[in-house]
Amino acid sequence: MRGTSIGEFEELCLLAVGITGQDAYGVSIKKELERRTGRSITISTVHSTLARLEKKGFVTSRMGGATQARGGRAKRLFELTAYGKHVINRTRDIRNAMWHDIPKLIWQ
Amino acid sequence: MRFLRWYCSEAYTTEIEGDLAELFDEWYALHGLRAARWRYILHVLLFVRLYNCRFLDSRSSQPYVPMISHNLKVIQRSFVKNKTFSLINMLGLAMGLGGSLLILLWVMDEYAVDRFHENTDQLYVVNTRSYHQGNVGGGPGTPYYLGKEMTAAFPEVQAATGWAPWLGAEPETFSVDDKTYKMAGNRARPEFFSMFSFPLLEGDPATALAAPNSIAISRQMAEVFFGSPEAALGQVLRHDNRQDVTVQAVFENVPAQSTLQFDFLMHWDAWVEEDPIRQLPDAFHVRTVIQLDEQADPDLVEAKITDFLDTYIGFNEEEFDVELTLQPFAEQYLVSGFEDGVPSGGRIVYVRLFGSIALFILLIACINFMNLSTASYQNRAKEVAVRKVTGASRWELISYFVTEAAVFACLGIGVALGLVWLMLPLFNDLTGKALVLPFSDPVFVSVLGSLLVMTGLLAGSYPALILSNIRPIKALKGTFRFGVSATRFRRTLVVVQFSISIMLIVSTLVISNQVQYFQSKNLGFEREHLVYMPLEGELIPDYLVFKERLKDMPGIKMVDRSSQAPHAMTFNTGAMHWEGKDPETLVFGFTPTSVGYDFVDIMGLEIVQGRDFSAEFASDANNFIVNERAVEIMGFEDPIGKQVGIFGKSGEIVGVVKDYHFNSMHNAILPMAIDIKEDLHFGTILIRTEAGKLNEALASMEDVAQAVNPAMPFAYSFSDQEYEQMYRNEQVMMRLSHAFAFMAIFISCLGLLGLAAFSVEQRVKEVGIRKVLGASVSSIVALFSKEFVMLVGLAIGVAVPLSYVLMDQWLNRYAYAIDLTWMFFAVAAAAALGITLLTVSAQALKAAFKNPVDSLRTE
Repeated sequence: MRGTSIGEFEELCLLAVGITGQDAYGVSIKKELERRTGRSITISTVHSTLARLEKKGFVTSRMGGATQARGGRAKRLFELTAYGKHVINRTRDIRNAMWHDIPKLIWQ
Repeated sequence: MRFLRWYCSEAYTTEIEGDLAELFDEWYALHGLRAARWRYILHVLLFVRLYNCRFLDSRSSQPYVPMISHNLKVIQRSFVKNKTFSLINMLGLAMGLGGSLLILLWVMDEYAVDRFHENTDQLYVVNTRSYHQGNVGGGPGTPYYLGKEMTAAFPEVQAATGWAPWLGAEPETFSVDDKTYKMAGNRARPEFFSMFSFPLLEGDPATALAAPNSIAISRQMAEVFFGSPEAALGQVLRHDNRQDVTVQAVFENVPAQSTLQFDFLMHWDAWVEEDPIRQLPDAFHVRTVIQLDEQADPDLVEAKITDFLDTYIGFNEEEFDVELTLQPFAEQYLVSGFEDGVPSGGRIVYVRLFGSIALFILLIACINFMNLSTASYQNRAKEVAVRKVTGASRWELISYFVTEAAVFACLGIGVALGLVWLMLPLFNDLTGKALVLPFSDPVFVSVLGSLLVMTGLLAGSYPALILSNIRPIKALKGTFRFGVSATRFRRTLVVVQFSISIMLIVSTLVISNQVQYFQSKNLGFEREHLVYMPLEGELIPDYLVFKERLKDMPGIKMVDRSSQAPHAMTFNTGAMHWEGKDPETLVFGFTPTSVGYDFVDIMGLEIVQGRDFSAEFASDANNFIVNERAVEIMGFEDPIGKQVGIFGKSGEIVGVVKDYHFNSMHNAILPMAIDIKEDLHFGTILIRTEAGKLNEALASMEDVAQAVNPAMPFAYSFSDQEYEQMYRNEQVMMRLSHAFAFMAIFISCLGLLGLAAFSVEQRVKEVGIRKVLGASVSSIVALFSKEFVMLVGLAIGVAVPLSYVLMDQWLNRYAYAIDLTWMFFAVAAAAALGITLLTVSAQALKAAFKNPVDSLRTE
């Protein structure tokens, strides 16, 4: 499958899904991202990105876990697929390789 | 949240709403209620994205295509199931569409008049605007020389011609060898054929009217005299038995869409030379049409020509002034009236009136259709419910109903076209036109198409919107009823329908009465048993001989003459002078009539002052009789003996005649000056025949005419017939409005019928219970009628004031009109009520007679 490159935000979302684990849904992912990056994220961006990621095959979703706070509505819970995990790793490898190759002089 | 639900496809709604709910709580805790609300709204808007848009959801748009054929099948079945009902519905729609189509054709034809000329945009007709003692007046009459002078004086005026409108009604005699016929035509300047697009079959536009003795004739005239257009070229015709003219061109017969109608054209300037009156600077008798250069700006030109006449007529500018104005040639047919000196009104009033009537009828038909369809859908609530349960989306339901309405509309238009095709010959007779269904005209086809779409959408949308909203559970249980708002809407529709119908009834009544009034009003002279003969040929010099011989013949009572036909003296002038009149002013409207000595007698007029002309007074050859109105205008206390003059002749007033209608009753009676001229070379011979002896009289007339004037065919016309012709417009209007009122009523009735039937059916159980409890038949009928009577009452309340205003305005256009009494409105209202009661009670009776056992048995 071609197109295994993902944008910065998409990568962050994937990572957040991995971190949050069991209860990975819209609001929790958003909170995780905000905590980690320090910038404010709109919930609709998260939702639309996750939908896109699902379409690309990096995550899967299921409905579940309705609570009172949500007025009884179910959450859409996300989970990384094997393909998704592969993509995260690959991206990390590329980044690290490039980071290593920057000449030491830059850092002085 | 509703917004979100509307926009978002259902797959995502739950989670988004849930997330937003969580966040809302947080925001509320952190920032308070108001901030929380704001953020909520903001985020909902942010959720409008492509990924969750429901309208792009590929799932529901797929089964659309196969649905069409399914829809059509269902529609066909439902049609068959309610055959009568569907037929009534479609018939109503077809009638409405058909009626509007007919009117549309008529209106299109009216607008097409005179627009077929290639140079249409450059052609303008010259009108006058006159100021007299503070009053502004406008008129179409211009001097005979105007065309020639304007082309010479203004470079922007490329070409010009005059036109004598009255010549079309006065056929002239032509003969070749032994063939003698009368043809009607006109005079024109040489550039006529390059200005207007009347194609020439033979000859050249440049030479067609170049020579003074040239004549251009129509194909018809060429065939009648010479057998063919080719044979006619270069031939000589004898005109009026006094001059020979040579055929220089043959043109194609003039189409009906031209206001300029003629079978021949002769040289303008030569004609003007014939009669000194035509050379007078203030003889404003003819129309002048000019052609402007392509680049010329009509407004600039108009400003330039405004005071052109001042160089020819020396007017005292403060008291009296005449200016020239331009009007596009194509417009003068529709906008033929004048108001405050500017062209306004005229036939276009009728055109607009009929256009609106057409729209109204269409509206009624559509409303009807909507109403009836909606009513019928009540019965199909179960069907709709089942569809919903099996997963039809709201969109699918709507599209189904719109399709059904569209199919009806299609069928309706088909039937309508058929109806129009059938009615067209009749309609053409009525209106005097030659209309056809122009399927090749893109305008027509596009109008038809848009009608179809509009009707379908309009009629289908309303029931669709209502029905797609029903709750399946309620419907399946069988307890589905339309909401209050739906019923209210339908009722408003009925009220609108009936208001329009009532207005139409009132209009019809008023118009009919007005036309009848015209026809029966006492004109002030005896219309019956009066025959006209044109003065021509040998009759002109030998008039007195003719008179002597004829007046003692069987069947003839009296013979006399007049310079204009007595019922249509349209020729009037300002060239009248009288004692004490300011010589600098011109008063338009004096109608000069030159007659024989027996004129007053033969017409049956009444002398109110002074005496009639008499051959015993030699001086009477130079004296005048005027009418009461003239006395008013001239301001004489005692007119007898005062000096007056017109066209170079002056004399004394010897008598005053009572005002009589010598012109159409559209206009007020104008002042008139009668003098004796038994040798005028034009005019009409008046013959009073004895009652019941018409055939003998005609035979006598023919005998004497043939003896005195053998070279020309015997021609005559009847005064009362000619008179009726003047009101042809009104007659057409009257018949058309009859037809339309009838149509509107019929359609409204259909609507009412459907509604009544429906309403009764709804309450079948209620009726059953009432009967069981002892209600009489009449009380049940009353029960139903009350509701509808109230509606009609409301319609009456709306329609009466509106129609009063409209009719009042229309009648004001006539100088002589009937009074707008309450009778008209009462009759219309009574008719509407009557029809309503009839229709409703018919339905109610049916229900009342039903056996309560049957009606209460149903589940």
